[in-house]
Amino acid sequence: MKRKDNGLIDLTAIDPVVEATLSQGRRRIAERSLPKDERKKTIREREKAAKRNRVMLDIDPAIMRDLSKLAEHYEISQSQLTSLALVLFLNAIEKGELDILPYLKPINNPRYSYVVNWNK
Amino acid sequence: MAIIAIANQKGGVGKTTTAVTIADGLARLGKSVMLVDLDPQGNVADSLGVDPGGDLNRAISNNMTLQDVAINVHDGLDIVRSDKTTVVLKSKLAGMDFREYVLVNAMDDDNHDYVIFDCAPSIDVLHTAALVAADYLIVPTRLDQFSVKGVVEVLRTLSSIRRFSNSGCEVGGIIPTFYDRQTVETQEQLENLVSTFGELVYPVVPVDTNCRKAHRAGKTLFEFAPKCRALVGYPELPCGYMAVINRILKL
Ligand SMILES: Nc1ncnc2c1ncn2[C@@H]1O[C@H](COP(=O)(O)OP(=O)(O)O)[C@@H](O)[C@H]1O
Ligand SMILES: [Mg+2]
Repeated sequence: MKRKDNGLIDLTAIDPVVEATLSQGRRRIAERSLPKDERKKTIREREKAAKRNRVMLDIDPAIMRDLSKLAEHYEISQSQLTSLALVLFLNAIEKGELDILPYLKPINNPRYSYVVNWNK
Repeated sequence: MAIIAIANQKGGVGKTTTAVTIADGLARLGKSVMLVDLDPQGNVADSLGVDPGGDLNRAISNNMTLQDVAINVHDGLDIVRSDKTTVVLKSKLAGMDFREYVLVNAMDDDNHDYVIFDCAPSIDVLHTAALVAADYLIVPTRLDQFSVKGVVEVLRTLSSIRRFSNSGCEVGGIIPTFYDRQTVETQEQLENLVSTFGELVYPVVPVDTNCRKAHRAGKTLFEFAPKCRALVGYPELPCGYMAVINRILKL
């Protein structure tokens, strides 16, 4: 509990969870008072904004199975687990702790120069 | 050790649900907890699927400690039950000197990490004794038009108790219960509570039929529906009793 210099509790401080609850509630109420067509539009825009973070990747089913098992084990979403894996991976590369060159094999393809062989 | 009184002079605001869920949750985190029922209704025993009993009256009438009469429910969780004999106890206490210290005395040498009092919805001698014994008062409240007033009333009772006794009880927090995000009233009252009590307002506990179902089944929420809304909140807004317990750990 934050206290001001005079010992009184600082009423401007708010629990972050409560703050999020209030702002989500305000948004919901503001949307509800919009005319129907505008409400649809804001909902569509929000969905579109959420979609911008969505990516389509072609991933080996064996990897997906392991990922989904691990996500279930830790009781987290697959998206969050994947994000964590990518952050750890990108950090490791940036720090020079990980070198991916040994995993690359040259191929004859008009678009890519290499293919990855992760079973190495 | 922290002694917490869960109180609100109004009934049906979620006091017992809060007391039982917090006690059970803290015990599941490895803490040793004693939950003391001060309400003759005996809802604590019901909620835990335990036979009713008059432990509270037995302890105090025989000059024993609460720890002496407590029964163990599961690892880390002991309870002191209450039943109709608590009414008899209250009238016995009414004529006694220093009656507001009965719970302080009954906790002599207690070694639990947490002691939690589930108060009855009235200002009686046991309610006063709980606020004298407690380090923190936690007030569950519904989010209706009387909620701020109800909380103010409890806080007023606390400050008058602090004036006539040497109670060091502080307001630990206010828990908005029965949170329903579909209603404008809920939102308005939450805004109201926050502007009056600031950081004292804990994360909300969503309205959730699992509370009633779990109570009827004699199971705690952690046993009955460990992923339910009242415990973990919504996917986009983690709140509920888990978030409340996180705040209590920081008291
Ligand atoms: N968050 C909630 N959502 C829905 N029902 C609840 C919730 N909290 C408590 N209840 C139910 O409401 C009733 C009153 O709750 P209770 O905890 O006994 O209140 P009190 O002890 O303040 O009288 C009980 O039937 C309980 O199961
Ligand atoms: Mg009750």
